[in-house]
Amino acid sequence: MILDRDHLPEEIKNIPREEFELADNDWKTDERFTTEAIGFYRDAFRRLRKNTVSMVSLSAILLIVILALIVPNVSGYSYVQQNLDQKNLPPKIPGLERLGIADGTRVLTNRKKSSIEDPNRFPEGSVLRIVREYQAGKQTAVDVLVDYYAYCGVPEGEYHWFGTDYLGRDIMTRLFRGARISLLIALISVGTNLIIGIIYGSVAGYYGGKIDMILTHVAEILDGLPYIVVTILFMLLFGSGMFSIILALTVTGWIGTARLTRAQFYRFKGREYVLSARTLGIPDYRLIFRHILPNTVGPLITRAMIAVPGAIFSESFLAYIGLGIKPPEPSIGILLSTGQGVLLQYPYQTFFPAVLISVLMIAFNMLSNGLRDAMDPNHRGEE
Amino acid sequence: MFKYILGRFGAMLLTLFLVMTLSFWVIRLMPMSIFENPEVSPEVQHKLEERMHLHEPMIVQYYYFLEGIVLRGDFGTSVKMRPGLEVFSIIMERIPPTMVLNFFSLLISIPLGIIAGTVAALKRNRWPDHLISFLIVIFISVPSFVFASLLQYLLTFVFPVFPTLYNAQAPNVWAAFHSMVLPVVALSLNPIATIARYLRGELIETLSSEYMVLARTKGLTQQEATWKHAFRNSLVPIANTIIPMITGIMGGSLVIEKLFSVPGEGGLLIDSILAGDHFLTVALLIFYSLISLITILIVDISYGIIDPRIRIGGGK
Amino acid sequence: MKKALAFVIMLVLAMSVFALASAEKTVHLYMASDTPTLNQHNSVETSLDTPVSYCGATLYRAVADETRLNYEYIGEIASDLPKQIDDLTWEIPLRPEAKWANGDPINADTVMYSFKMLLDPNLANQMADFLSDFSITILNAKEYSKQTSDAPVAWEDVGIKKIDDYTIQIVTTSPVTQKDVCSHFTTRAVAMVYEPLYEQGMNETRTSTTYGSVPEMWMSAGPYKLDSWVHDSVQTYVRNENYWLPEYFHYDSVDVRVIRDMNARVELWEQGALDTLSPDINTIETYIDDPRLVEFSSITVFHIDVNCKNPENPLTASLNYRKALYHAMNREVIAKSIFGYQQPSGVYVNGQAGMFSGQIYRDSDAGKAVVERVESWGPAGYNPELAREYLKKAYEECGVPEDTVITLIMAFDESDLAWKATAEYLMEEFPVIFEGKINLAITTYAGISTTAFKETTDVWDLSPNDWSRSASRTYPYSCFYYYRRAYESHPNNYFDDEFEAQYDVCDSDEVKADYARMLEETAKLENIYLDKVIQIPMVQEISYQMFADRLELPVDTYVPGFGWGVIYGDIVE
Repeated sequence: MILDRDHLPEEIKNIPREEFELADNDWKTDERFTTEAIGFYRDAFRRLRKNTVSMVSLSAILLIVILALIVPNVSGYSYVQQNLDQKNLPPKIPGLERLGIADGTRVLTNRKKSSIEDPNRFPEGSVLRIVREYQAGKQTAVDVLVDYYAYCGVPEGEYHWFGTDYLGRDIMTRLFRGARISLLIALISVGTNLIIGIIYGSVAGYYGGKIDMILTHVAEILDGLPYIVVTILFMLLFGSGMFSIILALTVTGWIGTARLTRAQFYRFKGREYVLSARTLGIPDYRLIFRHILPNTVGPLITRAMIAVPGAIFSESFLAYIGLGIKPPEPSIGILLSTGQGVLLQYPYQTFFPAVLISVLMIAFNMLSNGLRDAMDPNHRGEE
Repeated sequence: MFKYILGRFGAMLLTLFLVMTLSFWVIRLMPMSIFENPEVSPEVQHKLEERMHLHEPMIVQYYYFLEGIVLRGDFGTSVKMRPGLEVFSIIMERIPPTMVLNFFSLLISIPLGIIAGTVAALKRNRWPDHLISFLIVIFISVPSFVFASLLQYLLTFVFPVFPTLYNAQAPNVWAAFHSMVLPVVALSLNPIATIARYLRGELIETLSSEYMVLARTKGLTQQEATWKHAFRNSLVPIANTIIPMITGIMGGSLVIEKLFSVPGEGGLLIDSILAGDHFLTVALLIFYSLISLITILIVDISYGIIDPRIRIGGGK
Repeated sequence: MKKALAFVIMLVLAMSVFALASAEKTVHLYMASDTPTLNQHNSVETSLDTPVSYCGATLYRAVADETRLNYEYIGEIASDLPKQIDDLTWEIPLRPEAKWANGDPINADTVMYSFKMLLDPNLANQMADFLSDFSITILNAKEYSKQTSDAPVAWEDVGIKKIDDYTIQIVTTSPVTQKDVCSHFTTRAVAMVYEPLYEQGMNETRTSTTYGSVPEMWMSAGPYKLDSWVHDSVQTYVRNENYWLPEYFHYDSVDVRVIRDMNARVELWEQGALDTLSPDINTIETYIDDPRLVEFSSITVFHIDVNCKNPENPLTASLNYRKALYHAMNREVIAKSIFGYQQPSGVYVNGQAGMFSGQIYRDSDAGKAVVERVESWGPAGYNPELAREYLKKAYEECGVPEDTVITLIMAFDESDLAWKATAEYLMEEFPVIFEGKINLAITTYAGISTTAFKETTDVWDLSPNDWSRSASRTYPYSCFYYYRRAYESHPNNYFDDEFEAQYDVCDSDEVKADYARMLEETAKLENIYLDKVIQIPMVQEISYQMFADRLELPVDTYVPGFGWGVIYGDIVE
């Protein structure tokens, strides 16, 4: 430590400039990044891509969407095409039928034994074997395994992969057509909810005070109305159908989004960066949309992902209580509720829609979990 | 704090009043024909309508309606569902089965949901997590009417372990409980899954937060830190799921009560709307709104205590 | 853990053994929905038949006779069949031993009180007509119950009198038979009400009573007494020790569950926990060959009302348009495949009408001629060729350009599976039959009743209907009752003078006295109905019912007007 600069020896004071030399030449400039800078979303997407479960879910959703778009057009049946001679056919799938599953057979219970010989009721070759024979009253009754396709006179080589319904319509065609409708309902209602909720929540959360008070109370009142009632009222006003269902899902659906947005605003609007932006005279709308709102995008996307299956679920609940979309248009909910009515007789009519709705739900939920983890700022940059 | 609670309570009363007014006007403006039976002659209909003030202008009817509720606690008399019976007593009569079912359902779904959610979070991305997450999604995704129907079919018909229907006149507690198992289970699947999913997410988030690192550095073991900090902190937002859960159970019980023939509140609302029993409908709307408002109030107040930043009416 | 499990299993087993051990004869029945009230005066719900027939007492009761093919009347509160005094006057003697379940006596005062209250103008009971004007018409009874302040009618003028403590006198407006009088006093509406409770439930203005709203507010007097009633769940009845005709009844107790879900009913039936089951359109397929299945043709003919005042349909008032619709219905397919093993019907008078007057109208020459006429058009009236022809005429008649596509609106109740399927079927059929000119759209009542729906809007074209309340087994023409101007809640906005004039002819005393003529006149009426297409008949209902093997019924076959007599059945294990 040199305390007295003025009294240094002359030779040290007068070292010529040329004598000086940089001790460590490399040290002065930062090393250039060899990698590109990665934005938040790209980073999130990168992590999402590494998450196998999420990717499988995403592909499942895409697959279902593709199937929903394609199957109704290529199945060979239309979703309204009826054949009352061939109603309630069990599933029959080429290939699998050899394994004994989905081979178009059914056990008919409580038949009179004498009727089996009647070719008008049991056409040639339709009876495969008698499962059970018992005495009922004075006559002999049998449970008999029949080739139900032969029994109904379906020509050889015709297949209904998922069977047919009460009007002889192909369930596979209707199921994927229904998936299309259900997804559409879900997307529109979730989209609308997001837009309304974000705007409402931002305004309430950003301005606070009286505006917040009024807006929150209005939301509360709407929330206080059970949505079944709201739905029925809309059905009365607009008739039952897709429009009413979407409206019913929207009327109270946006409140959750608004709450979330509002809470996020309260969290971020006091942060220093927002204060400094405001001091710089940045207008309100820019503050809202440019500086605060992006913070809520992560949670909102997660929420929307969960809301999609939620909307499908609500739709099926409405269908069950008789407030679904208008026939003959199918939806997953309509198919499930008609299936539930015949669960004991034709379980497959519940099975396929239930599997599809489950796969959709699982995929959306897993994807939303993955997104949530991927968008978690704490994990940023993690490999 | 007291002022805050008082304010929230006042707001709740205001909301309730608005809900009352709204439901009165909306429901009563629906086409009202109390006796659309071909056998009831028009003269009789006219007489009965006169008795219920139905011939007076709506605004006068509204006055009678408010006066009845505020002064006498009188919500009117049912005309179709239970003719002659006071609407209030119908609702009261039906509360017990619904309450019992919902209570048991909450009783098993909260702990089970918490356990499942915690296990899934702690064993994240290992097989217990995958299994639990899979079950969660199944429970959330398959509508309760399908599940309930399936449970009923499997456990009462194929393997007759439980009775098919709810036993409203069980001779003893055991029989009552026995007949309640299936409805309660069917009712609980969705809430269990909801809680578990929520908690799993919360826990995973808190486990990776800074204060966990701090807790570890100050010498706590991972277990201690998890229990003392992460777990407790994650439980708080669970209150948030309780509002939708309670209303959800109510919606669910609508289906479950129909399938298991439970004489509860569930089916009453839809039935009364379909039957056009408007006095009962309005009262039920108020009842349902009251319940959800009380839940919201409780959650709000607890939030106000826990996290004052979220209080309504903070500054810009 | 294992111990606990074993304990639970043991308990379950113990419970089931317990359940088997009881040797009581209990019959297990079900209702699709519960009775709204037990006050038999003021509810039109037919579900009330069950509690009132088991636990209530009327003057007369129908029981199966020796032949097991028919029924006869016995006095329940009455000690003997009614005695004819003159053309219009009848005397009914009462049993001194009749009493309420709590031991209070039933006498002429009880009967007078019950009847007076049923007709009471202030109470305005919905079932009052069942006493004033049902199978007999009682003098001044309707005038009394429907009186207005400017035309008062005194109770003393009504044709119901107490002669002494055990005799009642009835005065009718026209001559009737003994059987008519008996049948008049067997319906649930005229069962006795218990005065102390009826009065206790009365409001200050005496305009309504809470009698029967809860089990404590109702009194049993019949073969069984109401043991418990949990609304929307279960009703149980046990033997009434005070009942005076126990020999007709064999069960020790009756268990009536309210079961809304069809799957639950089927499961219970298969387990033997229910003694009856009515299969619906989804379940009939399973049981159609079952030896326990019994069937009978009911008095319901499902039909479709056509709105003649839809402002948005240019054809709405056209007769040709209605004819086109009539011929476009493939009733064979709809009845057999959609409604499930039902009978197609191109005519509206049901298969039981006229049965009590000696001959079923449908079996008479006049009735058969109408069916032949319908069959000449095509099977049950179905003829697409004719339908197209009539539609073409309708287009010309209404001046609608030929290439116009019209969309008809079919409005129905979403929960009705058969009609919903029919609507979906017709949606596909109409464009084919009418070569793309007619489409069908669907709208549902969505939460309001049919009548309320029709009061709100005229924008509908077709609406399914199953009203059969006016259909009678005595007068074949009476099913057309709802399609006259005199009936206020109009199903279809269409009235026809010729049709109404012919209805009045059928309804005249002159025709009522001559059954052969009535058959002729009814056929004329039905032909006018077909000419004008007042509405479109579709399906004659076949009712299916299953009875458990352990249930022994008092009759061998369905007896119209009596049914299967389940109440008189016995349990044989």
